[in-house]
Amino acid sequence: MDRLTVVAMFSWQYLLMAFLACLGMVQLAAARSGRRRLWFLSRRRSVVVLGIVLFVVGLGFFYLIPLWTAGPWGPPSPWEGTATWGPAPPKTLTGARNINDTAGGLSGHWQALWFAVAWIAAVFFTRAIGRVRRPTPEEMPGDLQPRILVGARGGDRP
Amino acid sequence: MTSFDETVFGWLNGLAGRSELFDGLVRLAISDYLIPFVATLAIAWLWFAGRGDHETERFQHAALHGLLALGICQLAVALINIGVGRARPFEQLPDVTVLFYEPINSSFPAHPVATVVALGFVLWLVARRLAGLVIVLGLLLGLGRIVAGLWFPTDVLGGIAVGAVSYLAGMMVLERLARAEAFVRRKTAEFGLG
Repeated sequence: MDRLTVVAMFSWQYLLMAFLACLGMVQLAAARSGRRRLWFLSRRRSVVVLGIVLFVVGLGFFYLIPLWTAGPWGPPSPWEGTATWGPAPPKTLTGARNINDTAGGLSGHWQALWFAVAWIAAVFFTRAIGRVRRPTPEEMPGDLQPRILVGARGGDRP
Repeated sequence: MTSFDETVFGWLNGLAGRSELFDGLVRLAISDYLIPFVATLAIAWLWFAGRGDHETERFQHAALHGLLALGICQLAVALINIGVGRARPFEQLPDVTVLFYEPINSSFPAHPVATVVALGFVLWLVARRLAGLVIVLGLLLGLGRIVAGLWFPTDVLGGIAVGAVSYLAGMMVLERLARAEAFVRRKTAEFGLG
């Protein structure tokens, strides 16, 4: 198994997990604080449910994908260094991710880097969605901006 | 190695290899990507979770404290690893059941436990229930890795001590960086991210 291939595979899968989980965490935090501009949905309860779902889906994706994707977790055992390249058998699934960083698993430094990237991406993505859903007057297109008519009076009557 | 280490290690590692279900759960709990990831997410959560100006300021202060403690903890563990090169239990003792890959770095201190405990202590300042959960997860991680044959109990205790010191050091550093903190919070607020 080529170590770089394994690192690249772990990296994108970790990044996707972290992005989804961070999106979920922003939703949960925004629901608690009432920052509606960060909400993906209109009701607080829905935002909380969505946050939990995103968090669970992120983690679930990362830990379940070895079941149907070929990787360095094929039988007999990834943690004993005897794995082949293939999908993980259900029996060894919980340990499928336990691969030494010398064999392509992610070291703490890589995890820190990808987590930071995922958090920043999730925050900016959330802001972008928020701007579309709830733009401030300055963010609205020109023809939709509220106008303040100085000195306006009631409609002129002929 | 002390007799305390050997006795407690022997008892906990004796739990491994008896049940496939238990071993599987231990392998999941001690994964490099699960408990440290959840603890870091809890710190990130603080940034947007505060209600009102006062709580937001406290929470964001704690989030920055967590970030600093995290960095200090990594540095402390790296420095200790240079000075203390302790062999793993499976390298020192016969008949150890190993449930994980065999790491090649020093056993002391328990690095992920130090990280999770430092973050748990920071959370304790502002969100005690969440902090309790994170600290319990950190202890589970420590116990799990003893069961898995990777650490001695004193490695875990050392990890907890390093985590506590990192938390205190982070607090002291942040107090001296009040202007930098105010700058970060002002800039993020300007971008609508505060």
